[in-house]
Amino acid sequence: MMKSRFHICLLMPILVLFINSCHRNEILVPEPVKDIAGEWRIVKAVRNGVDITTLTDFTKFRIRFTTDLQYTIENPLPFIVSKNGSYALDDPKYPFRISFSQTGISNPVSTTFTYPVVNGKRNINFTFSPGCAANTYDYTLERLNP
Amino acid sequence: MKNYTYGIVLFLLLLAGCVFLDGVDEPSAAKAGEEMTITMHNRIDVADGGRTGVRLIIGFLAPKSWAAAANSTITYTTTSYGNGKMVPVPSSVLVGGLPWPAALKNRFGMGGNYMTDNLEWVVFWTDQAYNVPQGVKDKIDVTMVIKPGPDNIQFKTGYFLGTSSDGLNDVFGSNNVYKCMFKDCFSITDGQGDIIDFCNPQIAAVSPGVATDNDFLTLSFDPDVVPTALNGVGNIYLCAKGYTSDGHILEVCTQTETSKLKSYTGNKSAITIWPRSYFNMQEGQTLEKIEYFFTDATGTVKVGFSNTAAPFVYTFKCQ
Repeated sequence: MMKSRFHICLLMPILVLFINSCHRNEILVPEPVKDIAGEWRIVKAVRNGVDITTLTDFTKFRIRFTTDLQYTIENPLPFIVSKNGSYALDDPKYPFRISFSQTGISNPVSTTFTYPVVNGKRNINFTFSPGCAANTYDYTLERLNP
Repeated sequence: MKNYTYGIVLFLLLLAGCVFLDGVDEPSAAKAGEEMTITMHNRIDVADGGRTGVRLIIGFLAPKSWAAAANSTITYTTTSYGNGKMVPVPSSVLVGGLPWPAALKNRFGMGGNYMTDNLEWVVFWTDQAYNVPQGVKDKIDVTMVIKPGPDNIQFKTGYFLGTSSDGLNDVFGSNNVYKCMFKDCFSITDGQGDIIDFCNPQIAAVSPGVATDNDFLTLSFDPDVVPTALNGVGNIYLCAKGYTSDGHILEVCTQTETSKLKSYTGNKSAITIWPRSYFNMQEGQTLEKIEYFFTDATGTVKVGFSNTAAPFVYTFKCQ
């Protein structure tokens, strides 16, 4: 008992030092520009919290984002948008909001997404309600190798 | 060391701010579209140093089609803290990393109901926060005036009682700072259409219960409910008619790979369709309902509603 109390006394100043040192060695890491250009496919689909990936054919759906901010959809499925058009990222450095402008439709559709790295590959996760607002879908897309 | 452990456990038990759900009074009959009143009889017993800024939280199970968070008026009376109203807990308030309705579903489930995708926990808390010092014992009656939707429905009801300060914490032992209670099958009558039965398994079920033709629909077939003509049949197919709002009937009743059911949970099989594509709908068309049968590979053996020659019906509803 005595010994452990001694250890805590000894460790506390070291901990304080560490906390302090963290503070002083702040390094600014610039956020890299995120590039979503390329062709993406659905690898996981969740409806209202339940995985439905194997219940129907998600393998043929493709969305291709080009570097000049256009997108095209092949073999459409319920998605944020159904027609081709252009896309915009709010701030290319922090592109966690994307807006789709469908050709022939005046109001763009805007949604947030996440951009995690899974098994060394970039994924995009979109959450949206294409039909009834009560139903939420969560698609995980993976980029196809060029 | 053991003594310390017992000491800590004893200390934590003394700390508990317990809630008790003594009973729920449900109406003996309830009609579709007409307000009904349910009363929860609750008690609190604060056996520790008290809580500051705490809200009482209640939850109840309801069909999603009721949109009960928007269609319920909930008030409460106490012995010594006055009376007040309750409001839906904002979805930004998390318990164990989840919004309250999802956390309750995770922890307690859906009370033995079927088609749980179409039910939800609806969670309210007191409009104001309270400081409850140590030793407070109070009786709190919560009166819920809930307006069911227009459908005939039966489901097993469920109720939850807890607090904003203690959440679903089990530090004090499970069911101490919260209570959950499930009850028997409860019927809403005098509504439109066939009974939507959450209490008993169905030959056919569609998920989600509320949808438009731009959702994915999963239509499932359960061979274990009653013996049907499709018992022992290898491949089962969907034979469906879509009724559009502009009066067209779109029929897809050929036995192909596209209309074949896949294995689903347990012995069930299911087909998941995107109606807009499955019925080859034109732009501007919307579906009002789907009538469907399950068939064998030849299309001659057909099973319909309640194992009759009438089709199953799915009506598109979205509130």
